[in-house]
Amino acid sequence: MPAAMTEPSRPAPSLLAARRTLRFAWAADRRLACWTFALLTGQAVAASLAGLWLRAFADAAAARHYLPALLAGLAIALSLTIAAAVEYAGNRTRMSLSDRTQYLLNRRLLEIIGRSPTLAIHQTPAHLRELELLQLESWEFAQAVPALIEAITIAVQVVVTVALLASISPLMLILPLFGLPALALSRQTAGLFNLGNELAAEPSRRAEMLYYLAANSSAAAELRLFRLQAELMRRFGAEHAAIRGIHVGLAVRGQLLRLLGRSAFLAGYLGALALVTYLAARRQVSIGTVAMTAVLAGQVLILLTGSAEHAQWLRRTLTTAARQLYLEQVAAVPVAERQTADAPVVHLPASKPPVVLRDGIRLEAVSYRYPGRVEPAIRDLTAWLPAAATVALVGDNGAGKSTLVGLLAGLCRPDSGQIQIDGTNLADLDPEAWRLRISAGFQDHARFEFTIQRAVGLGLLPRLDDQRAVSAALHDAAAADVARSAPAGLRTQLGAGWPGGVDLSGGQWQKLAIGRAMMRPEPLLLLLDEPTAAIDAEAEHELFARWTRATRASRQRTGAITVLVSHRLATVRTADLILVLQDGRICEQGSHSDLMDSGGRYAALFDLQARAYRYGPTG
Amino acid sequence: MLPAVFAVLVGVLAGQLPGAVGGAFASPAWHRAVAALAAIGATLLLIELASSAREIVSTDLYRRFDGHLLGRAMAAALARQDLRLFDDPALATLLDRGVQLARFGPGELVSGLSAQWTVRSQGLAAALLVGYYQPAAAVVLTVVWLVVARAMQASYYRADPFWTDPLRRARYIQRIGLLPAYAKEVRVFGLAGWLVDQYGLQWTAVMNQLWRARRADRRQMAVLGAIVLAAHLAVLALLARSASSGALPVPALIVILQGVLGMAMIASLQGDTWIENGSVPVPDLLNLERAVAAAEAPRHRRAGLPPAAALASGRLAAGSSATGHSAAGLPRQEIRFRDLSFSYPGSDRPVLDRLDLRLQAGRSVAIVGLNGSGKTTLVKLLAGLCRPAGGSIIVDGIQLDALEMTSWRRQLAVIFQDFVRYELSLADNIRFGGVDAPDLSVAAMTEIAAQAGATGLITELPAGLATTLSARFHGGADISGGQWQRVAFARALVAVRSGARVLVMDEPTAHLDVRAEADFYARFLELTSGLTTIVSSHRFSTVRRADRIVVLADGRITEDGSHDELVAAGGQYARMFRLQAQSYHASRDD
Repeated sequence: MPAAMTEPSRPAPSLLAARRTLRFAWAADRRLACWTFALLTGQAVAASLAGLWLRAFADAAAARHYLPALLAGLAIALSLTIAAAVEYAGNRTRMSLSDRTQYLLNRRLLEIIGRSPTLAIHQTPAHLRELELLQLESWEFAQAVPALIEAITIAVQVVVTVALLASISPLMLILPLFGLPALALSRQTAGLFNLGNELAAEPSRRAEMLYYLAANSSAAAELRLFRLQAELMRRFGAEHAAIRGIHVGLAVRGQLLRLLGRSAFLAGYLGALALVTYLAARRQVSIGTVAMTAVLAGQVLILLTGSAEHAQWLRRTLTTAARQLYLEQVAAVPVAERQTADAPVVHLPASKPPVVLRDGIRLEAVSYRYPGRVEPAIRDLTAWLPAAATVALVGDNGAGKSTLVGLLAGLCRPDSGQIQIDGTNLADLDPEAWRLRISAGFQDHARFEFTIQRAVGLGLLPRLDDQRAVSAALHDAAAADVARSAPAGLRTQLGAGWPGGVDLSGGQWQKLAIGRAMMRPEPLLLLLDEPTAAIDAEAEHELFARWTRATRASRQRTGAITVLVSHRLATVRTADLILVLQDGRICEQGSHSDLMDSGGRYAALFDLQARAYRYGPTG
Repeated sequence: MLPAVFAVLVGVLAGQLPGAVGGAFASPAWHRAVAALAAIGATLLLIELASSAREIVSTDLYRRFDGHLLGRAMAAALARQDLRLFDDPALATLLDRGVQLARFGPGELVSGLSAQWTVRSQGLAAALLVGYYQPAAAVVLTVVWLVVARAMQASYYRADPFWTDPLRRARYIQRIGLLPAYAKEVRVFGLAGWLVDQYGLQWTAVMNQLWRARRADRRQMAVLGAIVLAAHLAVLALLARSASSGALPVPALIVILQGVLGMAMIASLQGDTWIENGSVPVPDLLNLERAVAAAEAPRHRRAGLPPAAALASGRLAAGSSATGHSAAGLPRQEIRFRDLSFSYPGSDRPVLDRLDLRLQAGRSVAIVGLNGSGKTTLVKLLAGLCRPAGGSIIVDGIQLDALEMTSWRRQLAVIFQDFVRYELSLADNIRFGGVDAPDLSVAAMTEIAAQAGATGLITELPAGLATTLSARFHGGADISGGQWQRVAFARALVAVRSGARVLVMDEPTAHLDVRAEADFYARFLELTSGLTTIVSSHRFSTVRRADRIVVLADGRITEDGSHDELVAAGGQYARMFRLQAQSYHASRDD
């Protein structure tokens, strides 16, 4: 795929997108699609024939023939009834069809985003915008097949109607040409729609952020204490006014364009009517024909408007499909490949991680910069994490500790340099296979509002509903008390917004996150990124003691490495190897006693912190 | 109405034709035919203009309604001065439902109604047209179509409220899959496939409900079809008879026939889906508003306008919604917690159990306790965010209940453990500490940021104070947990500067690195001088700086004294301290 070489270009409707849309929508539900098509075509034909019956009725009446008039009346009654019935049925099948398409699109989106190996999508504003717009426009996308079906039925109707008109005078064949400007302009108006969403994306995002902030239980106390309610409402109102301004402004522009197209058609329509009037005056056509022309030409008018609108729909749909393509490309292309233009081939990493670590993990001249940032977070970093070691990362806020953890987990790919797992480049490993062998607990952990059982069990999906496994993991995480004090034990629903749900304190949520990390049996790499910041001293002490005990045996057997990020140096000092980070580089490394002896940065930090734990009067 | 005018004009045109036939182009009949043609042209142009205007107005209304309804949901969430909406499980469920469902796109209701009314009004205009010539026929057909419209109206959503729960779950799953807050763990634990399955499961549950409700009733449709057919046959047969007998002139017949065709629009389904979509959130929102109003404390009710309505209409001025003693300048002597008991709604476990504590004004106290021991609850009670189940809080002899709540909260500067990370500019994040105080100058803000240790942050951010603290926004940047903590601290300092006399810090150093933490405790005395300070922390470096330390366990104060006194007493505090101290002092014994 050539797109892999460079940043995907901004999404624009393309043939590929069109093909993709069709395949997707067709796959949604073939039976429903066929039904919708049949019903809508029936409706279209019934509607276009109405003009014919009207003429027959009027002409029969003019000629004082009762029976033909009655028959024409029957035809009118029948076609009205059928058209109505078909409209109802068609509408419902169409709705089901679009629901289904929308579901498939959302599902696909979940897959694309969830399966993308790195966090790049979440960290790059341009990608985020496309993701948001795609969600916003998923409803449009769901209309792809109905819109297409309607476009086809409209074509059928136009042909029938124009054929009827042409039977009056071949000159009438010109009539549809007057509709072309409107059709051509639909391209512009569709563009305006997408533009509106793009322009409004930022204020919409901000309004949504404010909205959820107001309803967020963990922000509720602070908002009230600082009396921010009216301020939030004011800002929310301002964002919505901005959104409205954007959309109304574009609507005005769109309607002006539309009027332009419609005036062209009106000219054609009046011309047609003038023509039949003239012909009628010269006795070449009947009065009924004039009436029929007025009705039929009017229908062509409505139809062409309809088709212009459908053309617009289709174009919107294609833009949405193009966004999806864009995200798929972004999700599939690892960051490293995008940086090195001289390596155009994306090889799908297929190697499996080793069963046992012998040498360990080596970082070689690794650099990483977050998308959109100027300064790299990790600069030219080289380090060896020996097999079976516990490694602590120490450093100031922003020194690059969490980034390093992300790199080891494969959540970011180095811009340059390599991470080697027992000699195999991490980039060559199958990301999913690697993740099965690691586990992690983060300071900014997720709060999964399921039952406690599941919130913890998610750490190992095959054991999701295994109570014993979850209890054991909670025990290992020194978090058994969370389940014990919950009203329904492991079956307690979390999140007060759910029926019977309860909220936990920050520390309790954190304990569950650690429990999740403990679900994986014998991971090769356990990453603990400040997982105890919100946890009290006794729990922390208990936790670290258990970790050390629990992992000692398996570490020796599998060479598993534990990486710990902490500001609590009392814990850090127990690590086999301490890496001190500063500005994305390692400035000191060694064991606790090595580092204390060398009297450098670490020793200073340790003394600083230990001072607080001296006995005797506060100094 | 314009389409009806159009139909009449076509009739007029047809009426002029017999006169014009064979006549010269100069004949009056021909002139009138041309005039009719011109009028038709003008009518059509007007129809176009009107529909364009309608589109624009409808876009505007769509957005207004969207903003209005979402604003109402938001106002309902913010209305109560306490946290009952979040703590009471039943109310929390209502809130979550209302808030999530309001995101369904209420504006579509406007689009739908506008589209539907446009079409249906054309149908009614056609009925008037027919009625002019044949009143009886018009009435019969109108009734028939109205019956059909009512019977066929989409009511899939309203029919069955059970689908909303699976829908909420489906949306929650979607949020997990798509939001950055979950991204790391979704990847590390390989949850994508599971999320997709769960999403499918919930969605199928939704769809099964909807499809069942949507299935057309064949017998009903057949009956309705027969009625439509019979009514039209009768009307048209009568028309055929009177027209072929010459009683009804052909031009009038043409107008009537167009009218009959047009009347089908009375039962048009145009816009039905939108109306359905858009009206989904309305019942839940109204429910939520009712619940908020019903649960209103009597104190707020006295002020007249319910807070939710006042907020939604932007009329809630600070302090206007409550009455009581002004708390300005308090506390001068002490804050007293007397026999304080509290448990969360829906739980029997008391968090606080007859707690007694006296805080001297202008002094600092550290509260030490295990996770979940009730430290945060105590802060919430002090801020009037929850009401005690028993006992009371007394500030300088005045019950907290009797204080005017807004002015009391102005006396408090709090750094919550779960402080809020506003995805707004750095300046807003700081300024929010004193939202009802005069605006801070840039110089003042820079000074406060410096006190909070956030000077480096200002220089590092691309647009300084004006930078949005989130990479999701144009020109914004993400900052680390430690940096967020400094911002939260700066916010509390702004509150102090705006007149707050009580400083509450719940885990103020949890996210700070070693140096920043050391710096913080070195300046603790300077930062808290003159303020009544409550600090809770797991870090003893912070705790031992306080004038006095209390240990909170089992909902009460179990130990009380200075650091040295408590260490000497050998209780829980001493044990906790020893645990941590050992691990540092071991280094000296190596």
